[in-house]
Amino acid sequence: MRIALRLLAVISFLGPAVWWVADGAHPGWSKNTVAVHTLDEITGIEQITYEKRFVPGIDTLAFGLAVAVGLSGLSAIIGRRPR
Amino acid sequence: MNSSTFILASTRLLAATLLATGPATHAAEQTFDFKDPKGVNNATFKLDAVLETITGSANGVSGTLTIDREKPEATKGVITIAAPSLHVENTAMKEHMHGKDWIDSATHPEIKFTVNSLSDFKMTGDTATATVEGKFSLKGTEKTINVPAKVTLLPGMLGKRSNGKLEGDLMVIRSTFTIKRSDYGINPAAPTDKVADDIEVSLAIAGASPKK
Repeated sequence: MRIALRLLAVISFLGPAVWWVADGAHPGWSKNTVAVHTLDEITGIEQITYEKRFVPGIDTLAFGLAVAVGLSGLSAIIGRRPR
Repeated sequence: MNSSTFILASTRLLAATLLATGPATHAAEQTFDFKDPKGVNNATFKLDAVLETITGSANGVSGTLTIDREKPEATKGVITIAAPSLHVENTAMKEHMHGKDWIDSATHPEIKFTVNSLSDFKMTGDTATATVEGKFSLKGTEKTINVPAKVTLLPGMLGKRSNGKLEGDLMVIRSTFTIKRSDYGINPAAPTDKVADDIEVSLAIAGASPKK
């Protein structure tokens, strides 16, 4: 049980971290929409539209870390031998 | 036809001609409509604070500008941005931005720039640069500001853009300027290390002037 919780804690931290890095290591808050720039050839203006896509930000990293810390703490409590 | 009838008829003809053609001094005036059915026109904004950079855009652009090519400094008009069209990429942040403390787009749905006058006008080919003085209105506060603008005239290009449905000219305006969040009552209590006081606004809009 203790090992399983610790393994889960590592996954909880590394999972979002790998996802964050793989999706461009966005330094701000997570995004629910992403800007798509398209050039209007006649006017030369970049049209901005938004597509619905989740991009993890530092809050996703923080959430993963918080879950990992929680699971580690739980594993320490569960694994403690009674005196 | 007696002489009085002739004079009356001539006066009516002259008045009708004047009404139809307008005063000779306004012959070079041209009005451009910035309501863009393609939704290309946009304004972007950037708040670059120490801890966080917030960027977004708005595409609810409308308004008209009337220019006189012989007297460009007399350019008049209003460009309006629909406040509800302001968008940032994080949904929760967008909800906050439109709230009462920030933009309050429900109470103040329009962001307006009313052109007063142009100065430092320089023309190179079909492109002109100028400093535009106007009244910028945001969240119920109006301030007179000066903004640099680059204006490009695209004669006869409306036909190409509208797939031949309309004939006329296009005018592209680009401008980047900075306003202060605190000047317009946009949550002035918010810490500037998280939300910058300076808002960099970039406008890229095209107006159409169909041939009548």
